[in-house]
Amino acid sequence: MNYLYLLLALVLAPVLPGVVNQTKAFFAGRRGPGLFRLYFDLAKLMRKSCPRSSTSTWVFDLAPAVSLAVTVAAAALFPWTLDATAPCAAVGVVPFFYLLGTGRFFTVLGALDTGSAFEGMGASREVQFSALVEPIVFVVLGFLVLLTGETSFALLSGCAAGSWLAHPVPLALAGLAFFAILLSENCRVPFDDPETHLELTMIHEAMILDNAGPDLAYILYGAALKFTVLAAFFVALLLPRLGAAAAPVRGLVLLAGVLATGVLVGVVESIMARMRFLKTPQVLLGAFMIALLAILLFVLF
Amino acid sequence: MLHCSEILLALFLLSDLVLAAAGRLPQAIRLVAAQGWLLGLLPLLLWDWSAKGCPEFRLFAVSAVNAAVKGVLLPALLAYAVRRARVARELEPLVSFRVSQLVVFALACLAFLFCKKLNISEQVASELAIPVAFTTMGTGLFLVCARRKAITQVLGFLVFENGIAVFGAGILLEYGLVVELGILLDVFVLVFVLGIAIFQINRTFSSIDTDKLNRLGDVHLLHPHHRRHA
Amino acid sequence: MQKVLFILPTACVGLAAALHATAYLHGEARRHQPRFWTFFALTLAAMLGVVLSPDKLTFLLAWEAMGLASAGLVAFENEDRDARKATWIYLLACHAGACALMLAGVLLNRPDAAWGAFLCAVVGFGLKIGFPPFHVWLPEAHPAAPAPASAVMSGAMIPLGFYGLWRFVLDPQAGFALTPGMGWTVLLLGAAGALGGILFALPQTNLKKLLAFSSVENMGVIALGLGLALLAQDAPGDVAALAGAGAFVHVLNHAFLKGGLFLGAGSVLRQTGTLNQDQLGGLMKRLPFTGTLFTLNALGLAGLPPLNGFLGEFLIYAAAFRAVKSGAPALVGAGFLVLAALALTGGLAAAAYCKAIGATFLGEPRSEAAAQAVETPRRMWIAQLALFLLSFAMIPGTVHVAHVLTDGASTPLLVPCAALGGAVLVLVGALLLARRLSPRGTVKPSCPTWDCGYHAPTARMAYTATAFTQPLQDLFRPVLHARTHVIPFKGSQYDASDAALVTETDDRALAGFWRPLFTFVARVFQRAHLLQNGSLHLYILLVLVALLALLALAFA
Repeated sequence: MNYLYLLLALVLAPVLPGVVNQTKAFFAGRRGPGLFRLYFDLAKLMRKSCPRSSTSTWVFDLAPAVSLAVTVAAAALFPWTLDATAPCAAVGVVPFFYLLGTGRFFTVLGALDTGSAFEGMGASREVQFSALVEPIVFVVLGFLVLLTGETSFALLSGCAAGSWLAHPVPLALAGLAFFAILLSENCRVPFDDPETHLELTMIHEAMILDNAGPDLAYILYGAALKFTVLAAFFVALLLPRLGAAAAPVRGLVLLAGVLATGVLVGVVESIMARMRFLKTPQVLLGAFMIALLAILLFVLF
Repeated sequence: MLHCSEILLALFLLSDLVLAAAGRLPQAIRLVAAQGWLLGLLPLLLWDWSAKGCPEFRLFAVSAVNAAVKGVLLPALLAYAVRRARVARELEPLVSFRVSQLVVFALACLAFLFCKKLNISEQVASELAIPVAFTTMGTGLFLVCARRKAITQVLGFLVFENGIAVFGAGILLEYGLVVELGILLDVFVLVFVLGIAIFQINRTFSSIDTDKLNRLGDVHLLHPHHRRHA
Repeated sequence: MQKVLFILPTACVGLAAALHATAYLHGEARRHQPRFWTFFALTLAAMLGVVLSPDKLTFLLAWEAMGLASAGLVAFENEDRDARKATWIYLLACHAGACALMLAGVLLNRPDAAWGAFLCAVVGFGLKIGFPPFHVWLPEAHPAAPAPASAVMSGAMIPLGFYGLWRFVLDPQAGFALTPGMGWTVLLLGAAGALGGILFALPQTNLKKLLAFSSVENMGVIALGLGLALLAQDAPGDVAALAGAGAFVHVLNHAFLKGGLFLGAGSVLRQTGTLNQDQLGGLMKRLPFTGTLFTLNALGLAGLPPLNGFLGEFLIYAAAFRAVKSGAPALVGAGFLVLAALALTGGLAAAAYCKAIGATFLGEPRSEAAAQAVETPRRMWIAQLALFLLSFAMIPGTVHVAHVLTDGASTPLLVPCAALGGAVLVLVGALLLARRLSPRGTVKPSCPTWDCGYHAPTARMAYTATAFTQPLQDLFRPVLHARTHVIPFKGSQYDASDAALVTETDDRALAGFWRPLFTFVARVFQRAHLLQNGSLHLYILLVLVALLALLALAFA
């Protein structure tokens, strides 16, 4: 059952960016490109060729495939029916986040391999923000361990019992901190603007300027999948326990929650502007403080 | 109901954290206004509705006055002063925003540890209220010390007062609300006077052209006691 | 078990480094070569002696021999001023460490001096391991020594400090009463080492200096695991076992990976004549084997799955999660400290290695030397390959070693993790095949890099190593104290190609701690100089006074 929902998530991943875009279009009073735009884009890109910079080497060649492969592997670890006894879920959350880190490592190397000024710029910013996000992720995870007494994926409150009733405030704070992680890791406003057309202000988009064809399709799909996986983690973190419900229901609730997260992100993007890069570490520091505050409230009260 | 008040107090803590890093004056003023609204809601949420039934009219009145004065009136006044004085948007803090945020977080930790030691859970409506009150007071005083602009110092003072108000609401003193109203009056007058002062200073100096300002400086430099005799 | 864990890297890295050195030293004057081999063999022998020594006395003798022999390796290029300076610093560190160790050996026998013995052991071995602020010799000695020597020293020798700590105090059989305070000491030193090491590794432009600071970081990670294990030694559950296993496994993994990286850096130096990453670039095309192996090793050492560097860190993470779960206040605090420190270290390490790979091997060459470079003799990259294969074999190896060390507690964690690595490789293959099979999927390098409308990008436009880390460097300026100076352009004002921005990040421990300390000590002893005025009468008087004082002390 778990793998069935994994498959469903893999198939539905490209819808999530569509949801965000439709939400933004709604706020801007436009009709929007439609929920399924990314499928058409991917199909188109798969039919194109991959022109390759003569500067680049095997690193550039391999980077999109590797970063997509590790994202798929991370998705396979996630309990999609919120059942912590699923075979992969017992490995825990550390490999889950570290696999996403491997993907980032290769994307950055691929960007540096082109020798382009803009891609170097994007890569430099990417490693900066991700290095700052990492401690927030693990402090939030530590908090969840403290809260639920579990060290596998069962630490998600969607899997464990009664967290919301006992400790609503710390859990809400942890959710807030993880939302900042979600936005930063997926290059959304206010950390990065996926729609910007000025190379100087791009992060993720700047790193993939040289990619085309199937490579670009892998990258776009990988980004959508990473967004889906992290959104699912976010939803499972906040969702009250659904243990009583049947597995198919839990899986469907989770996927619905992922789509709702897409709407939430779209709303945030519609009402906020992208921050200046210099201000970003400040916000990440704030998110770190919030995560620590959650622990403080939990430990002392 | 208790959870609602805890969420509200957590929001208060968050607003302290954000305030420490708020670079733009309008943003800071909005945050303080939000604190005012939270403060208005707080006594109502801390009231034990199921046990004590509907509270007296006084409680509603204090809530309304708090929200109106701190959530609307004072922020509007400050926003007006900012607009008229055309104060630069960005602050030039004495302590950088990053360090400020760390300081506020450290203050929060200290407040929580201190309250853990105090062990006052029987006398308060919410365990969270007292540490949040201390944190907010500390944040207010810290802002007064660490910021350069007069208007932010006024904001800091307001935050400090918000902290006192949370404290008053948290321990549910019989006459706490009345005392609180008295303090509120003081602060109101103070902010009013400061607002007018900032406005007046700005108007006076902007009506003098820079040449004259420079000469003023020269006179002052050449004759240090000139002003005293004048 | 611990003996095997420390002998294995010594033997393997030593052999691979020897193979590398046969080619690395080829350009050196023939008459210098015996000197290298003598010291190299002596160092390896002394290292094996350290591990195999039956008692503390022989241990200390072998330890001292190891320091002296390896100092000969650091001094190999003795016509270089930096190398001579590095040798002095290294010798000082060795002797200071030996002093502290002898003191520790004496104090260990006194039950009332447990803390003194512990601190002496930490200082003595910390000087070898590179706990801050004792790490000063590492970033000096590693760039100065020939690459094979650095590989042995960094990969196998400095972790021997942990072996020493184990023998002296940590081993349950040593009968030393450890208190929680000692666990916190190791833990905090580890956190400082891990974060400080990687923060200073990040802005280094010298490749070997970057690797040296990264060694400080990895030793810090090991110390984090050991510290957590010490704190949790009496706690129920498997926190202590997992943390200790993570630390020891990381010793092995770090040895092979870091050894390979230093050998790769040596190859780069030999083929291009420089280690300055701002002068390199584009070497992946020119040194394909060296570059590929360096990249894979760096991926492993950045602690990223599916390679083996991840497994040790994973065990420490797992232990930290269990420590948080246990609910005991001290363990919760320690667990969170380990989590936050390890996570930030991991993120920064990924950044540092991205920079090292990107600036050295990717993009276009930034200097003539880099553009002209050719692949190394086969022996050199075969040595690297051997170490990489060993580290790859360490994936099942780690699973087994951790299984033994934790009585099987780690196996349910590590086996799926290792299997996941295989799954990732299969997926990558499938995706590459899918690309190949797509309608126009053939890949051919045909065009210049797309620089957003600008069609003639040059190497000067690419991000350099300095530029890549500048945002992080700015963020951590209060710690790093980087010195920046601008080299203004001299020629036409329309051509700024001779202008540059240079950033140097020196070791803070040297300028901020040791230099003031030594200045202070020197000033104090200037006073004592009064006694040494050359008068024989005074000396005899002093001897008499000392004798009387001792007598008085003895009979008092």
